[in-house]
Amino acid sequence: MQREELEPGAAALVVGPVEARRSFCLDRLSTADRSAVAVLPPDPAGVVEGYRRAGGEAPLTVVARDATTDAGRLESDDVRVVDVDAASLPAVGEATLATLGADGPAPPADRLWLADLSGPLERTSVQQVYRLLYILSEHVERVDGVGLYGLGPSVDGKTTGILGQPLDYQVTVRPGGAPTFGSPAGRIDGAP
Amino acid sequence: MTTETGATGGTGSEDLTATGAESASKFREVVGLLDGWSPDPEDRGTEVSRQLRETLDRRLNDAESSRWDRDIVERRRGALTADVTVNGEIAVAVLGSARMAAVSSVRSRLDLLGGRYNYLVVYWRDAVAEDGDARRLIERRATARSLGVEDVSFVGPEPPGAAAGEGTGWPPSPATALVALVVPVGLLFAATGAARGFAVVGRFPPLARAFLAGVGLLFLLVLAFAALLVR
Repeated sequence: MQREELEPGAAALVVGPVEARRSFCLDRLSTADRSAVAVLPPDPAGVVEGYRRAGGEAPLTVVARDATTDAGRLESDDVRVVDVDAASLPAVGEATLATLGADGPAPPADRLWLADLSGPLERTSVQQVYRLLYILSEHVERVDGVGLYGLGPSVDGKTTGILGQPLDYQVTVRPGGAPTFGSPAGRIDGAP
Repeated sequence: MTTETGATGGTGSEDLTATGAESASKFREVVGLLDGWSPDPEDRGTEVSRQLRETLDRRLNDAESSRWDRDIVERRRGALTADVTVNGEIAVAVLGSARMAAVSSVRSRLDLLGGRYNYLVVYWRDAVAEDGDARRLIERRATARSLGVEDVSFVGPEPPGAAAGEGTGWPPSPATALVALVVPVGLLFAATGAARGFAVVGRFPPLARAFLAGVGLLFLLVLAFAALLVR
């Protein structure tokens, strides 16, 4: 039977054009019970607005590149903005992990969306991005959350396969079409 | 998850300037570690890959490494996949026998791995004398380019007999010796014939000499082109 939703603890690579990915991920982000976190979205203000429009009621944390953030304007009682140096994946990773922990300013996040892996892939290496996904998905699974990791359709199949290995699903989205849920291309050792 | 991995730990967040060079360097490090490794001779199959994962995890990572610096060493399961991967990108395949009959199945597995990973390390586990030719055949054909990977390396104990004589070209086989004798004699005859030909052509009228020179040049060009195609 065709899967239509992600179960708690699941992590998925979301592959497709920017707008389709954004729409799919905001819909899932808005189902957060405790809190949600959006990591490196290209337009933090648009994400906050989209999250609310999708029905998101839980507090939202945006981990954003300092150059794109107008933190003072975006922050409110239930929206928090964390600035990071996007060129440093450890910095991005630590800021994201802090939102999943119990001792942060917001309740531990149970929905995580890393908007686009293409940028980190250009700035760092496949191995570093793999390490980031591995660590984040491990923590998301531990807190019974849902992790969504966006990737553009132009990234080659082998890289997509490599990055999909630590994840549970690959969701392919397209404008105006239903998302397709499948096993990540690189996952060949007992896919869900 | 159906992989066994080393635990991640630590809280450091040192910035890393990573490029493709970092991946290549990690590949070389893994190759270096495997070069000096040998599994317990009694172990087979999953025991070997478990031992390999533990060894690589221990040697690549130290207790003080931050979680962002640790290399993720995972054991994969399934006959058609890598035995162990490092950071998802480097595949290590442990191969046993390399008999001639198994060349095509080994090649198929390497092609499969080449389609999934960027770096490939093949560890020859069994060093059997009969494996020498098959190993050389596989290693010669399985280049990084033909497999579609950034780099490939073969490591492991050499088959007995491979070090003495084999691979050095000495002593030569009877066929090589025959070719080595025939070629100089052939070249001598060709040189003599060419000299006589030049002497005869030298007596021709200028137009005929120019025509023959043109035909000769054209012939050489065709030969060069054919050689290029063969390469």
